Amino acid sequence: MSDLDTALAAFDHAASVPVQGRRQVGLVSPQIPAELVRAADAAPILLWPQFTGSSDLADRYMEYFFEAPLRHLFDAAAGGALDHLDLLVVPRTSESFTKFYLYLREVQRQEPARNIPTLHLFDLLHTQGESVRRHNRGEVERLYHRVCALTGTAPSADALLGAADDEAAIRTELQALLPLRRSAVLTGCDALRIYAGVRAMTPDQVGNAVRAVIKASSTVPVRTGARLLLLGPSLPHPALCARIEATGATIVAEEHPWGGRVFEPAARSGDTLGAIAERARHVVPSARSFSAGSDWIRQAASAANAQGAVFVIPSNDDSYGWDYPACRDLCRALGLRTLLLRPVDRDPADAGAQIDEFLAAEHAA
Amino acid sequence: MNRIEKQLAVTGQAGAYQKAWFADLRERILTRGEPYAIMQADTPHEIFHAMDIPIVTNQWWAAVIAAKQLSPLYFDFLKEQGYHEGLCRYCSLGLAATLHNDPSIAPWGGLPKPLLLCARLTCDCVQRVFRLWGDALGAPFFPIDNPGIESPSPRWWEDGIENWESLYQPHRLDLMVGQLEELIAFAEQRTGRTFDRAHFSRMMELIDRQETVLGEADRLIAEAPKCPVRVAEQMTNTMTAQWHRGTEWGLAHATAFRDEVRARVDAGIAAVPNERKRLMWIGAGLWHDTSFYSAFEESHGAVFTWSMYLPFAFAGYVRRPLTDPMRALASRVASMNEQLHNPPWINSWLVHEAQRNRIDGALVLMPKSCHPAAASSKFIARDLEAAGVPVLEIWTDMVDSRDWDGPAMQARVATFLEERLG
Ligand code: SF4
Repeated sequence: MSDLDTALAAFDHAASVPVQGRRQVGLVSPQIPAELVRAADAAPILLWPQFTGSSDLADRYMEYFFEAPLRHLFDAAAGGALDHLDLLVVPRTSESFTKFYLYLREVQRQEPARNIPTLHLFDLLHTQGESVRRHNRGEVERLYHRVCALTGTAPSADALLGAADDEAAIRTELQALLPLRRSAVLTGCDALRIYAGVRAMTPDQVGNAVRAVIKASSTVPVRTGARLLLLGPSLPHPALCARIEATGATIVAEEHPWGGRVFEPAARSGDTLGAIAERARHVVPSARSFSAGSDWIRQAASAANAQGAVFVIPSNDDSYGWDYPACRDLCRALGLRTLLLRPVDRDPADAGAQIDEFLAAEHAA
Repeated sequence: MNRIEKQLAVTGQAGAYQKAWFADLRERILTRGEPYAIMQADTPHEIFHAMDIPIVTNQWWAAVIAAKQLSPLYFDFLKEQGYHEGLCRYCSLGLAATLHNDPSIAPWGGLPKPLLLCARLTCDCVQRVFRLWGDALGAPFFPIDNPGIESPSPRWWEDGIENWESLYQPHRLDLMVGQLEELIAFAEQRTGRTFDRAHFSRMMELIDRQETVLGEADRLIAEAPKCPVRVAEQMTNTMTAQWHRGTEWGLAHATAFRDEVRARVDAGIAAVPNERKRLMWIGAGLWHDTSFYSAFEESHGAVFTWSMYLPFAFAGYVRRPLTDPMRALASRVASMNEQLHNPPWINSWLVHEAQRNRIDGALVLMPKSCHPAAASSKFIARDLEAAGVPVLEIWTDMVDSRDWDGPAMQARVATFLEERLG
């Protein structure tokens, strides 16, 4: 095991250690502010997407257009595999999540014997305007109070502020890794390991682990293959990431919400609840976000001096496809070569030849 | 496509009125250059009617384009531009026509720049379609958000008339009222016109009366021994009245429709005297082949007697008391998507409707290109089958006829009728 692997193992370890002695709140997406759960003295459990597993129950209730990871999660929730959770929070940040929530509720209503965790809909909306801002703030508060009720904790502005400070501190610690990503010392696969572990760590633990990664990286050679942006809404598919990087290329930034974007810094304000709501609405990407990806693409491409962009659009996509032509044209205008991969839902090996061809041409260029 | 004879006098009147309205709309928008809005069908048109701002409804515009057989051309064009084939079609046909930008073939020579575009965010793609469309037309897009419902109670069609405040949840209604007021302020600011609240209240009262009358027509049809009105004529009359909801004409037309239905019921007239099996059509209309609805009458005595448009009028629109018309409108805007596409509302309602209408079999439209319209289909099928109503899925699109094989689909349905309905 290399020094870097050893350092990264701290994040793997955090992600895999079972929580004990605290209420557990499952979050099905990074779009739900984990600091609300921590402020109420419960443990946020980020349910990282699984690409394999059973979908028997999902096949019974869900239509063809739900992605495989959501089907596996549905099976786990409806089949009792998540019964250790005291609450399962689902955001209203895509139609798939909203249906996931309503479908689970309906299974619960029709088959009460099933051991489905208690569900909470985090009804975050994405348009602007005063009424939506008020609504979102109310939703943030409602989730906080619900977890407080679960843990028997009195809601407190200080606890909330403390948790928001911790969250900001974690984001700051992670910013220190950005130069390593942008200079292709850390791979996209390394980054996913980090992001998967962070939710289960305190700021101090994150800080120590980040420093260990930085130290270990000093002996890691810079990868010389193409620096790529991974664009599109696709979930963090480790096999796809590994397949791309096996060619020597490096994913220096990814657009989806399971990657680095969720840890980008955000404005603070005197109104903690309002600031948390606004950040969830505006900074964290989702299918319903209004912020077109163009600013982010521009910034990410120039910060990492990216040479190419790989778009991954799942076969069931019904939304990102509307953004794709403009994003593709923008990438090309920025001098990036582009590759569109779709579909790669189940087996990224299917995309192997396309990736090789693209990167060979990249190399020749 | 065979034309099916119209059995009701009011159906012809609806067609004539719609034609005149269409000509007037065209005159106002194209010739006089009046400011107009492009709106999704499920947005609060009432607000624009109260400001006397003409509107073009996206889905209606899509039907106009489809009727000119232009859908294949436009969808192929979108594909050439890099928009993949899995994207939606129903709501994107108008965008495609604008992007294609050839006035020589587009209906009306293409839509001129509107005042604004407005859509409710009932899916993940509509905001993108409208944003692109707004950019192409050089007009702003006003999105209306779509809050989720945390604990929907299944029997909404009973609770929604008088207990609508609690059914649709006060915090969601607050949000929707806020958004509607923001829309009004936006439209006022862009047109210099004033939203006439007295006119709006009067419109809401007329709508309430119209939907009540349509509810009576619906009950007559459901309870008659044999269905007195084909489903295609139910749709035409309901949709035309709904199109003009809030006007004296809308109410008068709904009343004339109800009266003609009643006269047929009283006289014992059946739309199809040979009726032996009653079918339910679940989903939007099959606009590119409405003759499909009559295809099994002669051969199997199978008659489509139910589609959502008429039964939804009373349950989906009426709010009592109507003391706060804006809040009542907000409750309609907030809930329409759940009622028609989400469990437990849609599956519970369809079982209730199937029983109330003595339905023998159900056909469910499954549009591949519109996920929300295909949502809940498994709950629907399970619950209807459990209630003794066999279900057949029909995979096609409402406006895109490229993958529609009429004879093959008729053969499938014939097999279903013979094997499942006996
Ligand atoms: S998914 Fe359906 S409702 Fe949404 S924009 Fe597309 S066609 Fe319209």
